[in-house]
Amino acid sequence: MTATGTREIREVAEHALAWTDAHLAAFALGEDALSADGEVDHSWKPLGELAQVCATVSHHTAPQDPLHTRAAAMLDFAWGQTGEGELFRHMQRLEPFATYPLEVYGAFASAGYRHRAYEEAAAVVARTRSWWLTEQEPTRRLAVLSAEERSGIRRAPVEELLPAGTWLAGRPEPWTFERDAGYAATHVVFHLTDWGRDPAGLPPALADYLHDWLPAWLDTCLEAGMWDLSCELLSVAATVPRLTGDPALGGAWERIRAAQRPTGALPELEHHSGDTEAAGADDDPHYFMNHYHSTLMAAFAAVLTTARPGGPAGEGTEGTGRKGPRHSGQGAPA
Amino acid sequence: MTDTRLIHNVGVGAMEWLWAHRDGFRLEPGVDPEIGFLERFKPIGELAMICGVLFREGVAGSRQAELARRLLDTTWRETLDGGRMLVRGQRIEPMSPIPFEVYLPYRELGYSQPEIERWAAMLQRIDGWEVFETTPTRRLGLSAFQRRLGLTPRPPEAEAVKGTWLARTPEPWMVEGRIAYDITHCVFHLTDWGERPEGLPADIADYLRTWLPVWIDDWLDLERWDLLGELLVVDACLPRPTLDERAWKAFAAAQQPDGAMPAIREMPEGEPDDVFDVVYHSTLVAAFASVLATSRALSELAGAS
Repeated sequence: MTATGTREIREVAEHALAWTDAHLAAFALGEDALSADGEVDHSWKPLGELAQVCATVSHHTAPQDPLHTRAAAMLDFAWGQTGEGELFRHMQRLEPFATYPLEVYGAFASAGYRHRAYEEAAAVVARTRSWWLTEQEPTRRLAVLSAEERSGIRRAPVEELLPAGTWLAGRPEPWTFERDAGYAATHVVFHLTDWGRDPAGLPPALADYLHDWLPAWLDTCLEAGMWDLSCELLSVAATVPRLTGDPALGGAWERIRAAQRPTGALPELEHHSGDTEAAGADDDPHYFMNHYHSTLMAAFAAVLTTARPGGPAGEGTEGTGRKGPRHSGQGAPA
Repeated sequence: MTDTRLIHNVGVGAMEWLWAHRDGFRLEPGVDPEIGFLERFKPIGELAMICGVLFREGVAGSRQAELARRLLDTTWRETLDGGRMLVRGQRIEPMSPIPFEVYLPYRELGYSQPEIERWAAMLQRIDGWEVFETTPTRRLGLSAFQRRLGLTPRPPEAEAVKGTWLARTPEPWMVEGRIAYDITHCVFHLTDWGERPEGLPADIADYLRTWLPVWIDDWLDLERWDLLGELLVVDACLPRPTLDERAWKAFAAAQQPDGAMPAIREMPEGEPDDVFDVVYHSTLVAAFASVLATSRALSELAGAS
């Protein structure tokens, strides 16, 4: 097996972001995004994910780095799509109880893009008991709590940010892992670590559990050609202290590199990709939906991996210095 | 007090439509497993649950009871292939509760597929089940189903109910569509789908007595028949149902001559399967609300409680 080093992994991010940049128009918010019953999954969700990945990439790269420049420009584009935050206020008036506007806003707020009037309006609804009791899956609850914290509308006490009730926190039998559990698990880690910025946010018990089982899960996902979930797991691996440098991860990157198309796109699932690619890619609306998230996740995972001290090939860090080596237990909630 | 005949006739029409459109309860065996073979199980489970309520309450006419029995037989023997489709679904998604949720009402009516029962018992023992991520109300429902299947619920229902929106009786003016469905289903699970109105804790019953009429009014004005039907079921689960006359008259008037109940405002247009997918649920809910409200109205007439 060829060792995959920092340079090769970085290339995955470069190609993925180049593809993203070339398809930026598809992230634009259309008219349907502004109605109460619009298809959020085809409008606000991709835009929020673009913003989050670009925020993480620009955070972990030096200002003169081309990756940084590109990510920062795309982040500006995304913010422009929201009318510099004004559309969050619009959506809040239409659907005061929906949590997704705040979740998307949280990604921008964490990167320093703020809209004070929206935050004030969101804070009013967030003070109700009903908002607090909104029924969601535990991992999604964690996402909302985290968005509140990022948006400064409510400083959640640490114990409330604990991932109680989530699949991952239950540390269940590892063989009960399947797709939904996998996505829930990766997102718990993303929320607890502020999307890779703060690896110390991961409680040591969860880090231990992930250290034991993540390589096996990653292996099954790669075997199944589930590139999207594989990249999410690689992102998590980059935030679990003792997993970096694991030789199995180098092999995983080799496979992601092989799966990435010459355009930079990475399909969500290997066996789904054939139809839309053969049908003439860009004309097919399914093409974007089947590729954008996994491609963003490839960039996300690659940047987190190469920013870590002691990446898979034991090479040096390219981080900004704000996240040097930390003791794994430091600051973690008990 | 609403005319009991009007309430009863809504159910008569709904059962006729469900029988005439029974082919809509279909599986898609060829569907890509990534998309989800289990997606089409839900309507079948709901149908079986409502037919179960109809037999239990014993207020339906013989024609309705006959249609319900035939619907159950057809879906079990043909659509579910004697339960083998449930086993197949379980193999595709081993950690999913759906096959067991669909199975329960059939089992309670005497149908049997031991492999699903063994699977449910196995799921109950593993931690991966208790941390299966779902909303608090569905979690309560899963615990209730475990009890009904003879298993020890994990977590216990008394514990599960605490996490629900309704149990904490928040600001009633915050209720919108999604929360309203959480409310109705919380009541369904607490009362075993209307069988035990006493399963509703007193504080929740009080809260509903005060606010349910307001919500019924709201969704009546919006002509959201699917949700209105569920709220009428909730009314019939209360210690003193109102059987609200204005709501029932409008609900009955919204029903089509062939028995279909539109989900929102008017009937949709389109291919038969697509129309079925939009209105089957509201029509099932109409049958459910009708049988439960009729039963409560007759109990009141008889002076029973």
